[in-house]
Amino acid sequence: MVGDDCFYERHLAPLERRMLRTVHRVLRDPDAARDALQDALVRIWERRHVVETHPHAEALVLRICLHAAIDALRRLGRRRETTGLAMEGLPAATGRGPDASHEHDEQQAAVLAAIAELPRQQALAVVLRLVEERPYPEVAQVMGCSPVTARIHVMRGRSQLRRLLAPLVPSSTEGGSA
Amino acid sequence: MKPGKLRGDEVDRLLRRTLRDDLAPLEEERLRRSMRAAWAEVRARAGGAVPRAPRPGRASRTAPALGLAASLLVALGLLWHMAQPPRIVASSLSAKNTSLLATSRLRNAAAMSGLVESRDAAGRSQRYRIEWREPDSVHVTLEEAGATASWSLTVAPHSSGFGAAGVPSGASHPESEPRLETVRSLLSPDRIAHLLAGRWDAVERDARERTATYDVTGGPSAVRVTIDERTDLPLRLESGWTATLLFTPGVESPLPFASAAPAARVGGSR
Repeated sequence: MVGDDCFYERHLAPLERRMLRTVHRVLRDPDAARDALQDALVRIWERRHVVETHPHAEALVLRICLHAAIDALRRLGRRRETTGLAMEGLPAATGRGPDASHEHDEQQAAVLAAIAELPRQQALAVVLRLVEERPYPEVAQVMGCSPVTARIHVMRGRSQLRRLLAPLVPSSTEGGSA
Repeated sequence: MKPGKLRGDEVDRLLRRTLRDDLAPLEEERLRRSMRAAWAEVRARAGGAVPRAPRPGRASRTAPALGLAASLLVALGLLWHMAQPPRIVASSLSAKNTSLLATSRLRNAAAMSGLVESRDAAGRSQRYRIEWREPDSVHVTLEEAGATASWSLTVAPHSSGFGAAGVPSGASHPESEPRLETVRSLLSPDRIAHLLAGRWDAVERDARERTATYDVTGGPSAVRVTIDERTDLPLRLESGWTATLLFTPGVESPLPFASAAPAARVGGSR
C-alpha cells in the first residue's frame, strides 16, 4: 500500500529523535529501549489510520511511545523484584569518577523505580513535565487531556515521588548544594 | 542513607539530574536503525492487513471451535441432501405431477367410451353410455327405466354446453334437454381435463392394481378421480354420479395444433 509505504517518512521520521530520546530517558537501557520502541511501533501500526487523521498526530505518537516505555519500566521493575535484584547496575554515564558514578547510578535506579511505581498517567505527566520540561499545554496534548488535568497529574506524581524518594534526601541535598 | 524529607523543587531537580539526556550519538544511531528495522518487520509481519501475528506457542482458542462448526454444517448439509423429502412435500409434488400428466394424456386421447351411473331426484337409476370418436362429435345413450334415448352431439372443446351446430337425433334439443345435464362435463376428454383442473390431493394408492386416487378441489366441481398409473389416464370419476371410463391413448405430440390438422383439411375440401 502506497499510504503505508510513506507513513513512516511522513509521521515517524520527523519524530525519530524525540521518540528515541524519550524512550531511552525512561529506560536507560538500549535493549529495553529497543523492545519498547518495537512495542510502540506495533501499536502505531495498529492505529495508523487514527494517526493519519489525528489533529495532533505527533502528540499521539509520543503518547504511544511513552506508554510503551513506562510499561517496559514497570515490567523491568517487577522482573528485578521477582529475581531479588535492585534496579541497579544500569549503564552509567561517562566522565565521572567511580564514587560519583556509583552514587549517580544509585540515584538513577531509585528514581526509575519510583517512577515505575506511579500510576501510568502520573508517570507520563512526570516524565513530560519534570524530566523533559515541556510546557503544560504540550504535556496536556501528549496526554490527551486538559492542561488542568495535566497539572493535577504532575502534582500528584510529584507528591508520590517525594514520599518514594525520601531515602535519597541526604545525598540529594548534598548533591543539590554542591 | 537516612530517610528525610525532600524540599520544594528538589524532586524536580533530582529527576532532571538523574534522567538527563545523555544518549550518545553512536547509541542514538543504533537505536534509529533498530527502529527502522522494527518498523519494516512490523509491516512485513502484519502483511498489510493483520496487525500482529499470534505469538508462537499460543494456539488460537477459536480455531478448533470454528473447524468443528464448519464440519458439523457440512455433515448436516450432506444429511439434508441425502434424506428423502418430507412425506407431505413428496405427496404434493407427486399429485401435481400426476395431474399435469393426466391433463396432457386426456388432451391427446384418440377415443373415449364411458359409462356414467347416477340416480335422479326420485331415486331412479340412470345409465349413460358415452362414445367419443372425433374431436367435436359424441354419441350419448341414456337407459332409464327400461327406456332408451340417444343423442349425437357436437361439442365445443372448452365450453360446458353444446355447440351451436349440435344435431339432436333424439326427441328434444340438446341445449334444453335436462337429462343430459349430468354428463355435460363428461362428453369429451377435453371436458374431463377441464373438470379435473384444480388442486389434487392424494387419497390412496393401490400398488397391486397400479392405481392412485385423488380428490380434486378448486375446479368446476369437487371430484374424486382414480388414475391408471400405467397410462396416467382416469379410470373412474365420482361426484354424485360414478363414471367408468376407457380411453384410447393418442400419439403424444409436442404440437398443440396437431389434432386440428384433419379438420382444416375437411374445412378446405375441394
